[in-house]
Amino acid sequence: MSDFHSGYKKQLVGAAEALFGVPGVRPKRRVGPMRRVGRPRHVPLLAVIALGALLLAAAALAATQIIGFGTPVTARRAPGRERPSASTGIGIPVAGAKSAPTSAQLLAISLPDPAGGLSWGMRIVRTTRGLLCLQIGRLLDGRLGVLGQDGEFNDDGLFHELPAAVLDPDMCFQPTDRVLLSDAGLPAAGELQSPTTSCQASWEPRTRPSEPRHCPAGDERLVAFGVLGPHAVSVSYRARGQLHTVATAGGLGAYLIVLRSPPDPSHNIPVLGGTSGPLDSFPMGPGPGSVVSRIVFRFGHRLCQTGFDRPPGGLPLCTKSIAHTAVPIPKVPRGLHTRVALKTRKVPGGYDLDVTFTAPATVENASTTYGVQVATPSDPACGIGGVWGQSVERDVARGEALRVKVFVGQRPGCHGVAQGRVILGAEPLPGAFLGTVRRAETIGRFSFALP
Amino acid sequence: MDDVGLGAGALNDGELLERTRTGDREAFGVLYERRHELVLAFLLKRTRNPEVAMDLMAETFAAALIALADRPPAISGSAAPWLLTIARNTLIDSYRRGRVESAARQRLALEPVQITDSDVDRVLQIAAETDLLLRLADELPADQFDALRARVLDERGYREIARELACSPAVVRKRVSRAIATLRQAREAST
Repeated sequence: MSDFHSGYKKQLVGAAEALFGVPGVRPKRRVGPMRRVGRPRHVPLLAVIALGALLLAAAALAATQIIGFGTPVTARRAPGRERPSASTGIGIPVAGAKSAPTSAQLLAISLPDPAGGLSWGMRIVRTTRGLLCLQIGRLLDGRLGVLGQDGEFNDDGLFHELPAAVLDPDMCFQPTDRVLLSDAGLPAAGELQSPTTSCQASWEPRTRPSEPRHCPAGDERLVAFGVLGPHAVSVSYRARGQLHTVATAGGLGAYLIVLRSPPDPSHNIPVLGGTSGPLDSFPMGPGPGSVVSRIVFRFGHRLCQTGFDRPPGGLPLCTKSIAHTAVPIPKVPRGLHTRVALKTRKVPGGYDLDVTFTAPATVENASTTYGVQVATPSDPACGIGGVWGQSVERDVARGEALRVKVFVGQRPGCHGVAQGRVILGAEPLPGAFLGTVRRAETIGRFSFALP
Repeated sequence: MDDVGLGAGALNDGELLERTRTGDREAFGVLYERRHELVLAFLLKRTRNPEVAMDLMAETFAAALIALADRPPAISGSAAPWLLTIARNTLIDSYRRGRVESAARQRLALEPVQITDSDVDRVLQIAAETDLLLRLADELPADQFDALRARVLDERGYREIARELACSPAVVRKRVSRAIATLRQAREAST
């Protein structure tokens, strides 16, 4: 038993003796106020608000009395991204039971805003293409949404629900990945998707008068969130020099941290960034650039920790010898081959490539993807490691003819032969196919000259 | 004053509570040792904050002691439902007041106890190793366990619980009531 528990047990035993006295004698009086003692610790008022989903309804009841509902947030077109449908792009939310129209899981996270008002929440949405998408925002009446402030919704002061179907492609990941994200300077309105209508963070340069104004300093938040997998138990972070620890939620190791921005000077965090990697990758960060400074994992009955803020003499470091976990990687068929046809067109700054080929295998979800990668000539004038690419963000039938458009930039003085390949890759991040694949099979090759 | 000493470990929760009421000073300590991990695991699941969970756990046991004096519950076996109900009500009270409830500890004049980093680690370990449902299923009658799980642990509506348990909402209310009604009264009487 720890010092806390043994100390508290002693006090309880003493209190029991004071209450019930001599054996066999029942108490004859009610227990009354005795001596007022100070709080053991000052638990932040708002930390207490971060209780369970049970309590959200009560909070919402109070909130709805002062905040009205506006029109819901609508989907925005993501430039260069496939439009989502059941079989394209990131997919659409998987249909849920009758009582819940989608598989979206609003996590039991109700995190107070540093300035008060509606709490922050987080939702995980599974899509038809097998991805996990994260949504964060403000909470009202058990709904996730955006506040009409900081330039959002013409500052109408209303709550605008964020439907589970309005997903940000950049917030979607493979379910076998762990993801740590952060955004410093996010407006308190809670709109993560796009700064086009809201105010800009103070660190964003405002080069034209037509660009949104800078956010009021009091409205800037440092938001960190992610999913760390089912083995993650807790994350720790520092605020004003104090180490705080919160347990993960939702069975997927989800976490959410909301602080005032700019962050504590001790932080050396990127203004907008994140990392991702396979769940079975150990040892892992987070490094000093992360808001999360420590993560505790549980494997069987063993706890271990990782991060840069580990107390000396504490839990052992998570290494592969402790972290027994296996992430199933989709198998990519080997020995596939396809003929590639190529058309090139000179455009300002480079070439537009039109690559066509016949798919030799079926793609049924986002766990595998066809793509085209082009490596510029190995010449310093062309840049180091210059790879251009594009993925096919949709399900594909075997034998289907595919056409992929890729832009390949050409720096001044860069000449030679660019090598291209068509690949079938496993577990890519959605979006541009720039080598972020865990395993890829080359199924076709091509080349073209950069004169 | 008699001291139950080692013998207390063999008593069930109801017997420990009775021994506490009759002046056995160690009996409540034995109950605390036996049940604090369960209460902590429940509260950590709700709050996700080890420090807040420990604070609430301390208040829960203080409130239980007061409830035992003011309106003793009729417990013949496990005290887990009683303690978890008090924990849940403490949680709700804390939420409503915007701070961790401390009225019971104030009434008992309990002193602050420092929480260290190792305590926090231990709480996380307890939560990781404690399967609430499994532990409760082992010691409660099936119907009471199902009702308690649905109402206190999962926090769903009566109608939804009834659908899952294939019985009417009224029956669910009755089952839940049987499991926790006297406990709620005890809690209300203590505040």
